[in-house]
Amino acid sequence: MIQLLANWILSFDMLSGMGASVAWGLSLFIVAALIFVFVAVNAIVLVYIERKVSAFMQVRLGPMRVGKYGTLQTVADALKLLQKEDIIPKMADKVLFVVGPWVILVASVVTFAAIPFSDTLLAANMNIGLFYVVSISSIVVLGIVMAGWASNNKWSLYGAMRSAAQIISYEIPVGITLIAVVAVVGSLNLQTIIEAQGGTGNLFHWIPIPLPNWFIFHSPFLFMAAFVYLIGATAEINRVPFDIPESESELVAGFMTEFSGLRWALFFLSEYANATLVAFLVSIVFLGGWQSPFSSYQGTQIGFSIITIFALFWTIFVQGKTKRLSVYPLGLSLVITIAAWLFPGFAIWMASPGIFWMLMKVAGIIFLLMWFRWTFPRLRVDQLMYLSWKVILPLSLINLMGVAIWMWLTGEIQF
Amino acid sequence: MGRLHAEEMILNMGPQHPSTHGVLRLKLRTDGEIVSHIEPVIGYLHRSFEKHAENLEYQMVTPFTGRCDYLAAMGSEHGYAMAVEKMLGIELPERVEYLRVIFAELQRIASHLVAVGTFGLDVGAITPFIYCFRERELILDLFEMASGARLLYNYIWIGGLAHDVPPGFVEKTYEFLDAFEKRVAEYNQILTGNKIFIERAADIGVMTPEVAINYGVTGPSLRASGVNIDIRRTEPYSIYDRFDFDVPLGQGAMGTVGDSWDRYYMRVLEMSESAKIVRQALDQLPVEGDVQAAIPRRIRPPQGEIYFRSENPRGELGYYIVSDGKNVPLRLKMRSPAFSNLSVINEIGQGWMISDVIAILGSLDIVLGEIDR
Amino acid sequence: MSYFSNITNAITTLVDGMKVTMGYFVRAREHVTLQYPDEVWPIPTRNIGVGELDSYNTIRSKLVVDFEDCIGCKACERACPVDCIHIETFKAGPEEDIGTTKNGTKIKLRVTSFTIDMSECMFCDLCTPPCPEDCIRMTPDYQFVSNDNVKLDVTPEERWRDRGHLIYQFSKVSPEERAQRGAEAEKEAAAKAAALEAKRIAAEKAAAAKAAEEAAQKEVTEETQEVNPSQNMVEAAAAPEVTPPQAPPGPPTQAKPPVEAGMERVDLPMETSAVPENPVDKPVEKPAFTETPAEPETSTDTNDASKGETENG
Repeated sequence: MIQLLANWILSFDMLSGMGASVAWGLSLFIVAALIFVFVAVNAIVLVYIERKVSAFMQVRLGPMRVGKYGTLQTVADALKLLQKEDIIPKMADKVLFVVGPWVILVASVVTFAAIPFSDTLLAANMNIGLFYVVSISSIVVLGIVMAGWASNNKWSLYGAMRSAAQIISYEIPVGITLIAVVAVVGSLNLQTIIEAQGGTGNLFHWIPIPLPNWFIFHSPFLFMAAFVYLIGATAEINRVPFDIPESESELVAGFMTEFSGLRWALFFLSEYANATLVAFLVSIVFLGGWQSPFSSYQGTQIGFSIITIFALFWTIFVQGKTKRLSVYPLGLSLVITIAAWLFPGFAIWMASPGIFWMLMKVAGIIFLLMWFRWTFPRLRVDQLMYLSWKVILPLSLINLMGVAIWMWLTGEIQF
Repeated sequence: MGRLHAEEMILNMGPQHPSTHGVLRLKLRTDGEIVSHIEPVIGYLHRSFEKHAENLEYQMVTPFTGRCDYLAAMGSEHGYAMAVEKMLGIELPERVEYLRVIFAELQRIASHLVAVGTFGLDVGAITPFIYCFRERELILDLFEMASGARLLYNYIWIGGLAHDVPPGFVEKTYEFLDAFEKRVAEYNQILTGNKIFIERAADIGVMTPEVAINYGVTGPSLRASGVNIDIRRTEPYSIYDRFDFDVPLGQGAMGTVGDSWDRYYMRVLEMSESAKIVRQALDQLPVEGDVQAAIPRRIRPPQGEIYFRSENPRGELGYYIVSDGKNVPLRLKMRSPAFSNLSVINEIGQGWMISDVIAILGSLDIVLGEIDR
Repeated sequence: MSYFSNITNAITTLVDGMKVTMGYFVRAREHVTLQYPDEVWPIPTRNIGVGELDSYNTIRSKLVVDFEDCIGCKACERACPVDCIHIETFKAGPEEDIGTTKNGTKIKLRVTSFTIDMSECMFCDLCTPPCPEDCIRMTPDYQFVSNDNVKLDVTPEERWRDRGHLIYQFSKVSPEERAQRGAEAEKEAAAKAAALEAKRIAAEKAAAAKAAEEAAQKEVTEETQEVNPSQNMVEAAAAPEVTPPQAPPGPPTQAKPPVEAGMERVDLPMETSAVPENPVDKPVEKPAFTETPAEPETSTDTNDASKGETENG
């Protein structure tokens, strides 16, 4: 994308004199700025959505005052945070205290360089994309430890220590789980991984249910691996039920205790950037990335018809028991089905790969993370380690071996 | 490894801390995450209730009792009113007794809802807390309907009630009970049975019956250890001998008898039992009747002293009143259950992690207003 | 084997919990939130039988007094556990007709000022039942907020106790008049206080000489304690030319209705000792007091008098 942008810049007569390297640098800067803007906007939107989702799950309304339905609430919050006094505790290690939040932010923003948004839209098409993402994103722990240590606060220190232990422990099962996928594709390039998931096939190769060729449907082992990865990644980004580094009821705010204003906003920015990153990785690696779930426009029509029938049954039999019916799912799927049958162009668009499907999948995963967060209690430190070393790690190893055996059974590889 | 030198660290938890339930300060001596000693420091909410009481007439003390245990104001007022009435030797009308029991038990439900919700909050589950408060609001609506206040009622006066309940109160209470009994199942679904919650609460902070009795722990925390002491049952006051209810005891269903999960679950069970009592009391409630016994305008109990105890949501609430025959108590001592319950924290919290100390503290269900008085 | 059963148990129970939250998520319209200024909580309204008015409600919020009906008996002031009610009265002349209450009682005491400090009130509702005229009552008006900064009227020095808008003063007498009376009575009150002080010292000496019993001493304390600021003002108001200057030599309680005699408040002796150092408050120096003072229901701004009192309390 950077090269494309540079070529595009050079194609203008006025700008062609600047030279190829200058144009490349300029486009590099533009792309970096775009990614940063994406991360910032993403955080603002996600904070709003998270507040709304949590409110709805807790029979509340959430923000309602600033803007229609409180849509501008997070914008107002961001402005407020920017205006706040810049406080550095007297006894804090000033350099680390200032640098810590930026390290976290940079580590989580830089990973987006390798994330493909669609088949063409990505900053850098790396052949080691997956490796790059996993390795860079674990730099976050460095920033957390810096921030926690520099605060010179016992709660912050506890939070930082817990975070270090937690993130390093969960790197291992997460990495091994991803290796299982790499074993199937034979490449670390994220675009290649997505391209390998195109088309339609049977569920788990043999069960005759036509489903997209996503890796989550590739084999029972990869199906399990998707959830193992999701759990491990949730732990890696410090979200409930693994939010022990910042566990509010125990460590006040963990490593963020002493931070306020802009620096605190940076923590939030990186937290949501990390959540988005995890959602992107899950959808890239297991859910086919920007691939459409429908192979052709007939597939769209039939698929949505089936979804509508499911929605109908759900509305009648599940919702019917409650006093008030929620007909939005049924109505939405019905409208899309009718549109798909009436307008083939719409159906074709639905069946074609693109950024729409990518973002839909990401949104779904993020909603799942929010759902977890507003339902579960928090684990304890040692239970977290137990889960990591005794449950998730063996499972990921079994997955890795299982995938290899499965591929041998289905004939994808021969020895 | 022999040269590795590790020091213990003093960690001040509170008085400004999200989960010390008020302004409690815990001095934790920690070795890494392990807590080796806990020293509760109290007194940040001291409002000299007992000294106030020595300077106020008997009726004027009633609103102050509610301010001690502000989550169970009706229970505190009930206990105080009964203590003074016993000194005066007053017989109360039937309707008063029934209404008082209804309010005390509704208050028990409301208080336990807060206990259950905040315990969930302490272990990290935010949503059940909101659900609990939603139901508590319904109870507060009932209280507001009757007394006009939502938190500190001053409704149970010496010799009766401030005024009668409004028409429609009984029907609304039935309505609430019908809705509430279904909601308890929901709490169990989202919190009680949750595996993470069980891991966090079961086997944590086990309080043996001996420890509980030695420290004077009362209420649900004592019954969770398997000790069958409920003053409503062992020495029935008011008209509690007329109702049929169970006293839930800790079974150790998820771990050991007397662990945090048991203490939590006692409260869930007691809510249902209280709902049962309220239902029976509503069924038997005399339709007509006075709500004020004939008492002198100026209350002057005869010389003497009394200790009267009742079962508050948090445990045994005792009032020790010394009268010198005047209309102002010579001395009023409140035996607050949460104070004794908190004292056990060092015994049962030692050797656990910081997260567990939070869970144990939450399971003891303290109210700082009552501890500091 | 428990290893695997644990894992399956965890998955099923967690999914169980997620069902609950999802159930509420899809039924988001069943929320319990109220959009406060637009929607307000329905207040249960009911006449609890204290009086005829509809506003005698169960809901206990802002305390108001029907000033026209107040006979100045101070029953509410005595019943208040936190001393948030302060009443200033003086005796009307024998030929003076102040009027009657709605119950037909003839008012014998002129109430110059009736101050309710809502920032001290604890909403216990103990003051309403003793009122013989049912004129003090708690209204369901629970909103003490104001969009108007001027209404709060707080000077920067006093911002730390920003509660002027919570002190409600009912008065028919203009502040100037009250100030005048206060100034005139000040000397008299000071003299009286000095006399009482002398009397107390004498009594103490006598007591010391006789090695008197506890009871004797207590009586004296009870006498002297009456001269605390709030009641000093009563004295101050009770002394103008309107009334015949029959300043009672005994404790000032005798200027009040006999109900007062039954008062047996055991105050802390500290208050007594504070009297000479902290003399009578000056209820003047409030040029901002422009609202019509004749309007009884007007909740005027804080007066220095009430502030001085609250400082003591």
